[in-house]
Amino acid sequence: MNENPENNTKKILDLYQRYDFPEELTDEIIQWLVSDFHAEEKEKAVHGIWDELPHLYDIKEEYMLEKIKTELGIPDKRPLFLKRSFIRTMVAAAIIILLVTTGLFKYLELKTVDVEQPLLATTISTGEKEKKHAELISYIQTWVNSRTVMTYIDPTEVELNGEAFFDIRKSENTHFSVKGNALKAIVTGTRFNFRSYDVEDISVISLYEGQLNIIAPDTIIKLDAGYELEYNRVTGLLTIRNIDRQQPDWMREIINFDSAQVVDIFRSLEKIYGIKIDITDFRVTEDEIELKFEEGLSLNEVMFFMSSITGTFDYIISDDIVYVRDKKEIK
Amino acid sequence: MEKVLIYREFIDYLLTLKDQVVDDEENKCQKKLKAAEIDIPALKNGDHKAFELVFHRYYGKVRAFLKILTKSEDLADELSQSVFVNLWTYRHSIDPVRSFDAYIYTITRNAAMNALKKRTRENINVYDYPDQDGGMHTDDLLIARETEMLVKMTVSRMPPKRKLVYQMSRYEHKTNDEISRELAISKKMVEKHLRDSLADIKEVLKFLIIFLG
Repeated sequence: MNENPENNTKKILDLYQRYDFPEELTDEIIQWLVSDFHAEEKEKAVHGIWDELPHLYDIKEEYMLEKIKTELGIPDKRPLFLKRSFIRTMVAAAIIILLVTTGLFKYLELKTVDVEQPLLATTISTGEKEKKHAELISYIQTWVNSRTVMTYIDPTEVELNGEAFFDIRKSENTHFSVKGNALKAIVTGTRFNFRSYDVEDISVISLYEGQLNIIAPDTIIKLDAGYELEYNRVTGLLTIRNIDRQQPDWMREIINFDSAQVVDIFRSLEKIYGIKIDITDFRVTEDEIELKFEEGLSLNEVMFFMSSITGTFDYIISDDIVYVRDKKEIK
Repeated sequence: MEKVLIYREFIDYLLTLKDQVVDDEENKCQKKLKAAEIDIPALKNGDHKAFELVFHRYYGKVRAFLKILTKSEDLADELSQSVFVNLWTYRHSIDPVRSFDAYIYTITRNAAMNALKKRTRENINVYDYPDQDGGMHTDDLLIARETEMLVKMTVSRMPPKRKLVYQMSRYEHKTNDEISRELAISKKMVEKHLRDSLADIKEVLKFLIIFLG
């Protein structure tokens, strides 16, 4: 019946590793996982998960080590000034002093500074279907995708709600970081894309050149070029996978509709090509399709492509109006 | 204006400090990540530094692995602690000839499986005690259950509308006309959703040969 149980097992474990499922289904998967059924294949797949995991740094490491050493009765021979609890206390004290001092300086500055002093923070924002290119500072080029707000906090850090591509020339004394809603990328010289919309649960950092240190809620990850890291804020799952492209799709000026209804794509085409699409029967445009095309394509090429993949409508282009009809009706 | 200058210099100084902290944090991580050499004889002899090295090398990986298998942050914390406590307690049984990575994998995997078995103990595990009714061979029955579970996992990951149409059609046995009316979408759209959902299922089951009937 089953010719290749190994592939089936691997597929189940792959889905289980990447996603969360309803409780009842999770219980069933766990029953399957701990049973003796296909034990050899499961062991192979579970070992595969282990082998693929990198050696991660976990922020709980120091705390857990202290806890385990206490449990095992292993004495902590480190001098007081090297102990984490002492360092934490000192860091906390230093931060309080800095905050108080900064507050004092800020107060003095408010009293004396000319109100026309330029602000450090600058914001770049884009609307629907709008993209922008900006040079943050001499060595940082950035391209900002639509529906994005990017706030330039100081010369070394920006905050991102949306999607942007960064091309950062290596500069010896400078670190630059991009902070999304859950992840933070620390950069020295690199090209990468950061997608982090506040309304989306998933953030993705794709690295095309160089290396990135990424601070995630529980860990710090070093990402190499040719990989992308996905973080799900809801499940806390981190996934690292290969990428086979040199830049994100949206940078190559590709228009991307992900599971959109044909009628919605028509509305977008009207804006893009400045035309009117006349639909006599809306039933022919209810299909949901996934569509990617380069902006350089002609309207006729796009309409022909859509008509071919849906198979439900035909069209006639007359000046700046496109007439869409049910295929059967035309025949 | 002098005060402004001092303030700006101070801010610059704070930014430099921040960079240094980031540098230190990165260096600290890199050192730990690169600490590849594990001294097994020293660990067996009860060397605390060798244990710390093993801990720093493996803690993140052990915890991440346990979190994947148990799907629980708290359980992953608890089990990773017990993995390292056991590693130290039973350090004498480590075989220096065998791969240390394989050793720590085995104790981590066993910790996860034992915890998961405890979780399922309250219910009868259908994969261990299959029904004998219906004259179906045990292996075939288990494969059918496994396949059904994979289908359920795939359906669970479908876009909401597609999932709803699939469930109404397959589990509630509704006709395309009924689904079309209830969801206020065209019959063609229902067919499209069903086609897409079957394509998703076909994709995950492409390794299987199922004999129907």
